[in-house]
Amino acid sequence: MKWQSGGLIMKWRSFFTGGHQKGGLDVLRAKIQKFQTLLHQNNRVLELMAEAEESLWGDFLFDMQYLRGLAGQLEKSVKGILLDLNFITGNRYLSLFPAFEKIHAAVNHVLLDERNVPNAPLAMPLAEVDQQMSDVVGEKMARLGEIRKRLPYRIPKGFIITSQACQRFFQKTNIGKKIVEMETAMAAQKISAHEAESQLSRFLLNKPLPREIARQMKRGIAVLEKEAGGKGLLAVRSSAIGEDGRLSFAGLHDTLLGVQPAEASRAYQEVVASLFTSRAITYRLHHGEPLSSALMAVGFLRMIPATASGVVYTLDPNAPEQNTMLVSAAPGLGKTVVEGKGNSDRFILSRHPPHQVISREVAYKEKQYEIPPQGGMVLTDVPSARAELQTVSDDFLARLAGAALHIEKHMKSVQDIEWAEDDRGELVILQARPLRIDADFQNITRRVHAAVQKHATLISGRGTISCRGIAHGTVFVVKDENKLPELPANTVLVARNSSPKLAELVPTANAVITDIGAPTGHLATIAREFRVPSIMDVGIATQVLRDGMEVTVDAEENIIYEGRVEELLLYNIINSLSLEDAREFRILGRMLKRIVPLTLKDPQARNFRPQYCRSYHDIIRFAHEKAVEYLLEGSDQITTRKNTQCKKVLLQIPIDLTVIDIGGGLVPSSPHTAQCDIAEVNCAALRSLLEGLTSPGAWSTEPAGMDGRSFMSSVTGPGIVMKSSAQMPQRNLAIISDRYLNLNLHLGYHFNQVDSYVSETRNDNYIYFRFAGGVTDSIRRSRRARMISTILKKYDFMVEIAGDFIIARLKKFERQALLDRHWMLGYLIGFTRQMDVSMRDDSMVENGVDKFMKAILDHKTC
Amino acid sequence: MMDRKIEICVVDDEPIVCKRLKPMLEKSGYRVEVFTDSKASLERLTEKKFDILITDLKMKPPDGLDLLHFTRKTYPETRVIIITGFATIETARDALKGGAVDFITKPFHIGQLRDLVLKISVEIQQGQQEGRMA
Repeated sequence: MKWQSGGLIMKWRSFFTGGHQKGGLDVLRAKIQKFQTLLHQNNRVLELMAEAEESLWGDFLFDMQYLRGLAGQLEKSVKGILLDLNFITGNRYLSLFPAFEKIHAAVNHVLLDERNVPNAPLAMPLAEVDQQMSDVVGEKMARLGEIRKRLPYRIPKGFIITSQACQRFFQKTNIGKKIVEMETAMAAQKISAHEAESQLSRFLLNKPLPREIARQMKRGIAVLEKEAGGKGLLAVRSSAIGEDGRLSFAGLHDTLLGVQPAEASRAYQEVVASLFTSRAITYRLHHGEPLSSALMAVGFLRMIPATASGVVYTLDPNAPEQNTMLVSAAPGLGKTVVEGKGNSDRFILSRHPPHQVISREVAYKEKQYEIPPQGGMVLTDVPSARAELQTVSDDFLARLAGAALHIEKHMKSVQDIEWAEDDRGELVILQARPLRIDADFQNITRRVHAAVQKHATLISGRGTISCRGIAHGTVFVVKDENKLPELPANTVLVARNSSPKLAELVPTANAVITDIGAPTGHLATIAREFRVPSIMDVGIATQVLRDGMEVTVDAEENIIYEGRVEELLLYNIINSLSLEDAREFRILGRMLKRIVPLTLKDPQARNFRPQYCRSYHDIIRFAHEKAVEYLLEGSDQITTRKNTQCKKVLLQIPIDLTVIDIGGGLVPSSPHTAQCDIAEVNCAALRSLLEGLTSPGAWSTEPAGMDGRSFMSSVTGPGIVMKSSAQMPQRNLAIISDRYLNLNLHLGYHFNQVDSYVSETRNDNYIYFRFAGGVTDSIRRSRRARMISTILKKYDFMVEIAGDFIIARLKKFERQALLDRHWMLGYLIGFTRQMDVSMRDDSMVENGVDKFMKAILDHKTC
Repeated sequence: MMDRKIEICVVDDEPIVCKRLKPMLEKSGYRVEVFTDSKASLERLTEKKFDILITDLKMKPPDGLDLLHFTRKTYPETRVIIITGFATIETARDALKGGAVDFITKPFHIGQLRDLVLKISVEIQQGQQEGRMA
């Protein structure tokens, strides 16, 4: 790079000539260049991160190669940033390198998709489990726990012997060696997969269970017996980890029913051995997946004394287009249904409430499995009176159907659910898993095409999809975000703005549509977290969609239809299985966990140090912050003499502001003077901000009426709020280029920092705003923080408050929209300069917000 | 008179690609067959003529270029689209010289591929109509 060599030469020259005055400026120039490179790399990393995040929920097609490339590019850029930072700071932050290495190793590890068994206990009660924990308890148990935690349905009591325990078991038995033996023999075609299966299961069954696992098992069983008030039989269920959960390895022994507590260990081993069925082995060989990474958790569930049990498919796989559900039921325990012993009733129900029975086949059910009062499990004759009757009432069927569809909606895929009716007539869910539907997609898409013709298109192709999906419901238009009711079920939420208060309603809505908002904003992020289909920035939603309207939202094609497009909803639920489950998505999700989350948020906090960096984002955040600090420090040494790069900006308000131009921040025609006015500022972001700050009404020139109390605290309080650290520059200083702004502004007793990038490329743009400090006591300061935060959120910022400290972020907006927000920030900074003094009580928060919004509006209209 | 449905063959050794493209294309009204095993796809291509072949470049033999050459030789009317993560100028040139109608690098927006397929299918259907009228 031409510049680079020039800068170095200048530095070199100054070293020899010892030109101290000039030397200071030269050093600054060299640093500025490195800072620009750092900035560039910083933006690159943010860009890569944003693209990667979008791949998870957006329209991107990516593959493993993309993921590898992503990891490589990130590594390169982050490393480059570290080198630049250490150049700028004279090798002050070498400790970032080990932090970087750790994260880099973790990301690469994820890429290898090796079994990631988190440090977890050997056993866990089912009551503590939810869907996030599938790495520990396996898919099956995670789902069951989820149903209990988030949905109002009963599941059996139980505990899980975790993947950690399985790993321990495998390690202690040294099965790895045996596996390699088997794999080699199969590769040499010396043995078949069947032979391998029998050898491996014999191997496992002949080994003793490690003591610590056996102990946990005993303890878990004892707890169950105590809770249930007596001994009882167990259902021992495999709960495979990761990929295996998605492949139906229904081995012979993957579920054992009616297990006596004394046989629990044996049952565990048998179930674990089902990892090595010949089918599983063949599959893994074919897909090049190492057998040695196979792992599972095992659930121990208390068996329900069922009067009836069976299975429900929330969509009949034999005839998916019929939009019906399939239920099978038989007296006693589900063993009969699952094993195919004895007959069972079959019902076809409607998926629409009240779930009418469309067809029924009542079989003659001779045998059933029961748990008699003394324990054990017996196969008995069904009393003839019952044998010929329908096993469960239509009323129970309707309840079952409702519950099954509720689970389907929550899990977002067609479900295969095992259920039971207990001795009190209550429904118990025993197992739920996704059901793969082999549908004739051509037929279905033809029907979808035909169906959508019959429904009016209300809105099409407007705004941006923030969370993909298809949903239906009744429109509720938000009029007053301060008076939000509880949403009835099946609502499509429609709002003008993406207000923070709406975020609370999102999880219970079927879909969210907004007039204004960004797919990277706060509301969109919440929508994605809860997987609620949403479309933002539609513009006309509140005009076109009216309260009470029934609509179908297709947030895949970006079309909103009038009415309920049944075929589209059906298509959606059949098709949902499942992109998110794909290996690449899981890997990307795990990679992003080491790349995106920001732990180092507050540069003043104790944890703002290299050793606390947990992600690439932390590292670049730290590096950026320190680089700015050092650059500003460097500027202390120079004064605003006759140079084109460093000037004082003359403003209408009584503050000093010095700018350092690192490239294009001032207009080229700016004369060689120590001062300039706003018109010479080429950095549009700074110009807009200053215009807002100096706008009439923003800067209140009369000191706000301090009541006696607050004034006293400001004068006598233990130290003025600001932890004035040696690191924080005390001058008002801005580093500017034609697109970049880093502004540090001290007004009164508080500190504002704005860091932003505004260009023609929407995806590169961002604003970061930090605010701290104030006059008066902590409660008033906190009120002011809340007021500022509310205002910022109205402008789509994502805001975090910690006491009085605010950090707000905004990304990927168009240039003009960002400049408008800089203007707003300038106005806000001025406006709230003395606000905390008048924050006498909580109602003043709302007052402040209203006053500000009104003032902005007034300014715009004049 | 209804036009025959456009038939598309997708070949990519990464399962996620087939998994995403199949529903997207079927939703747009095409008949789609997908293969992660390029050998199997070649067998299928010998028995059936497709309107469009979408194939990855870098796969275990037969690779994308092999499939491209085979198709151009056997069914000159079949349009071939190359989608690949390994994009170099040479490979792009080889593909286009070899007769591919387009070359898309991963990652890409799915809508991009959909629009391209739509454009091609319109051309094909216009060709069908002209054929009938002639």
